[in-house]
Amino acid sequence: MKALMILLICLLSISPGMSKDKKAVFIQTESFDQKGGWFIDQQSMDVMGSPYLLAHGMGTPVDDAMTKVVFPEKGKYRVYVRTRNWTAQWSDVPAGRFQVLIDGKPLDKEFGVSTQEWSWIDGGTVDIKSGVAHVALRDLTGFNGRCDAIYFTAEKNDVPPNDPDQMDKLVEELTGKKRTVEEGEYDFVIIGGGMAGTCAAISAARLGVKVALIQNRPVLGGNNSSEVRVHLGARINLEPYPNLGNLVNEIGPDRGGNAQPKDYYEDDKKLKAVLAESNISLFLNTHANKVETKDGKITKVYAENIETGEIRGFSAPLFADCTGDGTIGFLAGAEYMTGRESRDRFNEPTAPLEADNLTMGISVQWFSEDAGYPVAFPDIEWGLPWNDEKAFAIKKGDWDWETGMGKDMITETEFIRDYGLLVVYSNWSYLKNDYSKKAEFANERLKWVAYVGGKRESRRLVGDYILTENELRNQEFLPDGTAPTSWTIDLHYPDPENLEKFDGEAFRSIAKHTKIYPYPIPFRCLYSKNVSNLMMGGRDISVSHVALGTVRLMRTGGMMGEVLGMAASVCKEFEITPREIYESHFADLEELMLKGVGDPDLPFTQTYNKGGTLLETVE
Amino acid sequence: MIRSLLITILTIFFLERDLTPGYVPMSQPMIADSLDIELIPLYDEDSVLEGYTAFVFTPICEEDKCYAVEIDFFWDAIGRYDHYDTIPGQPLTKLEHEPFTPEEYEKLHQILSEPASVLANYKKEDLVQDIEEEGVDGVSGATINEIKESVISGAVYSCYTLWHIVHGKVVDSIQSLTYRSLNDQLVKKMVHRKDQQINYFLINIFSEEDFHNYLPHLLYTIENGQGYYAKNAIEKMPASVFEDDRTQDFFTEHFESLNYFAQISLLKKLDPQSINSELKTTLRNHLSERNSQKNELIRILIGIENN
Repeated sequence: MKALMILLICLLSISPGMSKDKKAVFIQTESFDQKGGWFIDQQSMDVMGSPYLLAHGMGTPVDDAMTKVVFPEKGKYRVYVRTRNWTAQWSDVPAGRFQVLIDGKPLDKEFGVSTQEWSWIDGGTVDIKSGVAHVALRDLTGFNGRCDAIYFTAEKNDVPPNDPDQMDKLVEELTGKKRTVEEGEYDFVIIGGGMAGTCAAISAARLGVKVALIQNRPVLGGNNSSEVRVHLGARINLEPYPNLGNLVNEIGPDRGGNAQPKDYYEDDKKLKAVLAESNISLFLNTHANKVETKDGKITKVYAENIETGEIRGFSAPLFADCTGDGTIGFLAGAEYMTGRESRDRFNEPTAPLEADNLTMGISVQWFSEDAGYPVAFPDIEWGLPWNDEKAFAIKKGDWDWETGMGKDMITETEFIRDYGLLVVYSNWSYLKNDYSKKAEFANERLKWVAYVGGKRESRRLVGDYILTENELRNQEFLPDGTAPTSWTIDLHYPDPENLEKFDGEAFRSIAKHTKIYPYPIPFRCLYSKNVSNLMMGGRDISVSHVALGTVRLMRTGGMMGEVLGMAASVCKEFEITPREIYESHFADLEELMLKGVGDPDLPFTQTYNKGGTLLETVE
Repeated sequence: MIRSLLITILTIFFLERDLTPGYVPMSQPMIADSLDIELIPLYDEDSVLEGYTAFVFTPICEEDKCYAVEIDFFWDAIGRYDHYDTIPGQPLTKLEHEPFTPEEYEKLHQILSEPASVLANYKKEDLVQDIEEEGVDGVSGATINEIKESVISGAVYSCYTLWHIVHGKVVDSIQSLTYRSLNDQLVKKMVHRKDQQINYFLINIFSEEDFHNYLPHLLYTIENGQGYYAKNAIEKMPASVFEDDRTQDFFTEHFESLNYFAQISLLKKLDPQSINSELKTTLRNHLSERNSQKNELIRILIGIENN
């Protein structure tokens, strides 16, 4: 009897989202025991509340996701499923349909077929015969059905809330306590594990700084990872600091090319380099979404595991926002810019007359392979209307498959990514089933389509200096120049023909380049103007939209990371802020930049995509 | 005959450039080493070197048909391609002796004018891919996609060969010849072009003696330099040149207008033992509240302790 009591107490305390009082269970799909063929998508979690599972099957239904659920007691429960119909705004036919199975038996309804927005769908009632049931998600289409959470309730009129904060409260209420928080203290906390963040972490670690690197995906690299597949670009080892870039050279992939096979991107190379540094504590699958500040400084960043929901607190005297979206800066109240500035704001020749929101877009890249035999692809009913004239009879979609230009890159990411998927599938389904020369594509099998959208531009945090087109064009070097940007000013616009053919929702882009000479980015562009212990690196630094055109390239971002790591070591040594480095300890940073943190003897063989920049001297 | 004349006139009309043919060779044409190309120097009205010309006679085979190309090329003093002229009576032709159109003459000039052409990256045998047509043995090849824009259809090998001649070893030869011809008048003329590529040519080729002999012209390039030029020039200058008063006076006057990185390079080159008092004063005035490498270097030069 006593053993039974102990067992019951144990069961009660370890079950997710279960309370002694309320007979309800709240399950986050991302924490299912087995994901099957479903992927965790966290890219929009700050907007819709939580990571969700996505059935990214490219037309082939993916394997079931399953988990074991412990119920407070047997009996009848009403089931609510949080989901959405992602094609609702374009078609009457839903693309991503799935079922929910309880102990092997599907609920009567199909899900992913109703509302355009994320909502709780009433799935009817189910009889839970024992204290435990197996819950599964069964994908029916392979076309990006998605499920965020499932709520079982034995209470009457107990519809779960759709608001993210209220959902969090509900979960807390059900478990009877707040989600556990682990705490850690570091010298330097970097949020964002793309090229900039990864290089910042390794650079700081090699200089004796204790680092936490927080990354919200299972792999490092960001847009250079195998999840997005954009190759590195721009140059390293340039004057005035020719040893900046040695670390980029150590961890960069050997081969170039966008939308290439997975192994081109060498995710493990970056991971190994980080794991080799004992000063780095790495947190993958961890998304930072809360910040505590005091007296204009960040004291702590909270991040949650995108699978388990476990929260960790990271305390440090110094932080770096390498999130791309400037998320941490935003949460901390840092000044930031978005959109395209007007011409008279900075007097930039390439700026538009009026300010607007026509930023660069998100890329959902893809490619097919020759299977050697005929391969079918579903003739989808929910695609955009297509014809021979609209079709792109190609086997790869590269950087110029770009959506969302003009939309809000923070709040509308999911829509933008979904539109990217929609056009890829609409085009491919047409090529395979209706195209006049479909025989040419008979043996082609869709091999890879990104589901993590490759973003180019969102928030830019404001520093003590804002770099603009003018300094770049006129080579107006500043005394606090650091990593040189060397790509052309490369800005993207909706392809005019595509814009017209698709009623203003373009998905192809064109690039316009302005050649520049390499220009060292001022250090004052790499720390926040009003949050005194926050630095930034990557595409969220203090530049105008036009200047972003050149600094956004990933070798450049990597070098910014090297500089951030060096700055962190100077901050640590003298117990100062980044601004104080600029004001009184810049010589220390210069010394480190001259020396570099990477291997100076490693030959540079990653000669791809260096760009059409002007160079003063022939190399 | 009339047709050839017309073509010649047309080409001259299309290709009037900086180097006018009103020259008189001042000396025997110099044979460029290791090439069968005879470079003839060209001079301006003041008899200062302007550039070079060479007559090129070369067989070119477009597919199986070979013919001779005769052409005059013109380069500037540092070996940059300027223009070409056809020889009267010897128009350029494509496959099957089809003559170039006026547009094609112009296009050839554009192709040759591009020093970073993709033609640099390919070997002759890679320009064309063999196509196997059904039932017929290996027929005409197809120009590979990557170079299509950079060649004239039917004259692929002509474009390739001529580009490689113009941008090949002859450039080194020209630069050697020019170096041997350097004198005060020529260097002065070159620096007054305010052409960064010419400036880099000079500082990369100068010996220590040259830096001394041409010092005023060198300083002129620094005054008018863009980007990293001043920094690079200062780094190339031998230490001995900085002991010259003319150098120090120049930098006393111009220190302010140098960009930060040029200033750093200068400060690293100066010897605390030998800087004069005016320069010292100027440097002292550039000390700032901000501590930076520049500040530290100045303090060393003027004899203040760095803490």
